[in-house]
Amino acid sequence: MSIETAEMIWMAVGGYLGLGALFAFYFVLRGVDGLDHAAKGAGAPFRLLLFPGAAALWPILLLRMLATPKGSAR
Amino acid sequence: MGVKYQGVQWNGNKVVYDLYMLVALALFMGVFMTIGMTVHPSGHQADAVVLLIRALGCAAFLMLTVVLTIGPLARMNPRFLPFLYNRRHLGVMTFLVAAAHFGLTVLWYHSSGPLNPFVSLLVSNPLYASVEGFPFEAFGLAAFAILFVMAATSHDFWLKTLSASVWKVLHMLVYVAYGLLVLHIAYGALMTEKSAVYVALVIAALAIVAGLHVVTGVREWSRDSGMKGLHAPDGWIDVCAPEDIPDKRAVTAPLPKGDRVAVFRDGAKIYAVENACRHQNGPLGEGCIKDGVITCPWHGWQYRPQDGVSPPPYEERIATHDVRLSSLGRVFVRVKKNPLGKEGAFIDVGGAAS
Amino acid sequence: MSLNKGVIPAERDDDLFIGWAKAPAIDRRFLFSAAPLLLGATTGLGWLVAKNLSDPGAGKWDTTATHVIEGALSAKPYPMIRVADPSAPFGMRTVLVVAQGKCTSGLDLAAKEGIPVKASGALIERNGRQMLEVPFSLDKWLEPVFIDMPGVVADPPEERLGRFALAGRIMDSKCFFGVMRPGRGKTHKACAALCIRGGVPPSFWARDGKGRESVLLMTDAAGGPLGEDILPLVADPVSADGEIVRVGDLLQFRADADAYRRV
Repeated sequence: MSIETAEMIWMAVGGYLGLGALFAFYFVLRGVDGLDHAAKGAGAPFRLLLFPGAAALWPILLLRMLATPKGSAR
Repeated sequence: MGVKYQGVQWNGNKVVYDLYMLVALALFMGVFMTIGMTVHPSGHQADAVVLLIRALGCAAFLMLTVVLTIGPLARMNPRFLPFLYNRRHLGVMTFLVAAAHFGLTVLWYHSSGPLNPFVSLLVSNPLYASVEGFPFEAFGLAAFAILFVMAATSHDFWLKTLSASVWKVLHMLVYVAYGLLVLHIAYGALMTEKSAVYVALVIAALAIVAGLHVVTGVREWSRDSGMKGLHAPDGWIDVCAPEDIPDKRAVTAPLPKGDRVAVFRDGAKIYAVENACRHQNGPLGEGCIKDGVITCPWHGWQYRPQDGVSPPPYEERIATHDVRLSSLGRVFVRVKKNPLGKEGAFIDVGGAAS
Repeated sequence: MSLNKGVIPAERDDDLFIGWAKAPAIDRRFLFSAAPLLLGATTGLGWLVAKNLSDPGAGKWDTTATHVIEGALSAKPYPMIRVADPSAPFGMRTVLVVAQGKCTSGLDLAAKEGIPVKASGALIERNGRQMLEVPFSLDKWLEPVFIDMPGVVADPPEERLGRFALAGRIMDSKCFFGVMRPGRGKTHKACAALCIRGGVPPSFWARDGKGRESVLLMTDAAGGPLGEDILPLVADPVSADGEIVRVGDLLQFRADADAYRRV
């Protein structure tokens, strides 16, 4: 593997996770409450535990949020 | 779940479980480091960081091996159910130990050099085209990525949000991760260290994990094949006689399309529900009826046998199946599930089966 | 017809273990006897794995003391200081110089070639072969001194010992001499390649059938530093035809990267 390839791989991973981290901040603080009513009022430990997964799987969560009309959280 | 999420739902059993897990980890690391630092003559002492990297790697592999044996052991003998109950914490701890191994490796072997440490991780061992020289780092990195996603999605929120089937597929990747770890070790440590003990240990771990899965698989398959050919053309299957079902317990039967049904007896009443728990597809039929509700053997999730709904404040639902007693006194189950929340037809055998 | 009655034998009517409830007596008995076994097995495995680790070899890296040497500085083919030592076999010792971390090529010594210096750093030593680890910035470790330089140090004689076919491994001298113990094998390959890429001099670690080892400083066929072509071969068993040249007390193995063959 060339240095250029390796740099591209890490830039892609870093970009994906970087965007994911931005999304995760919003998601754990606000977004999750609209997706799952059991998250409403849940405490900081729960939200903290959610962060890494939200940063890693943000496209799935984003699609779920877009597909969930306001007020119809499960 | 109809109640608010918590970070970790602690209880006494989980605390004891985690304490034992941490003590075992501390013992392993402590003995490894002590022996590793003193086993060679003075002047030939191993470097503590390299030793720590190795100890953490060994601990993570050992822990993942244990994680993978718990499932089949619990299906063979209910005494192993306590190990299964908090397996999630063992899994997350495995990830944390692997993360320490990964972090120290990047720091010690790949940093403060002419390349970005992460770039070095991919290019410094460059023989990707070689069969015997393939960089073991790549296997470890891939396994680590899988363990990360699994640990990150271990909260029940993810099970519900991703849907049980997607979550299950994601977490079945643990077998891929285990295979990658075996390759990581075979291409790294086993090509570096001379002692045959390591080869023997890795083969033993692999054999135990694979063996237990094969044994439980074969047992399940032979049980299922004993139940084949039972379905009547009218959409009902003959499962057993009422007295075949122990009180508060179930008989499970395979359905023509591959699902399973669990037929429970609670005193004189016989109910049927789908066998898969909403939580992690736990085998409800291997559980029991406790305080009048079906209780999953894995994590204690509960459902009323009448309508498959969890008792308040929980809101999970599993489907019921209708049951009827045939003229020959056999328990028949309708193959088609009832809609979620609908009470199924049940049998009341009165005093006949007790 | 066999029935799947779950895993509980029908004749036993004790409770199942439910995580959130108090564990049934039968489970508690089982766990109390299993716990010491599991803890014992874990300890035993830790012992077994650590006990069989191969000997990392001699080597030390003393970061607790500052080691000071005086001698002639040379950057060719790699940074080194030649120290006069009448008690040594050739009247001198060559001490290789590497920077902290893995970027020795960052040491800019070209302007100091041949001058007498006093240098201080951490000593790295394996079987009498010495190396000095120094910071990047020259004024932190290097100062010119005015001492007499015997000819063997200022301009060491070269002795061509002939062409040889050697089998062994390419090591990065820094880790191999004692910074990482063990600093060899496949698990260390990436680190060794990174060090050599960063300018740490490569050493050829040759062993004969009787277990005797020789460590030779690797250069290209012309005696200059080796390039990155050598990196894929680092740490693996290789062989090469090359010329052995003694410069002062230091044996050099001169062969271009394409002379090396994987064994």
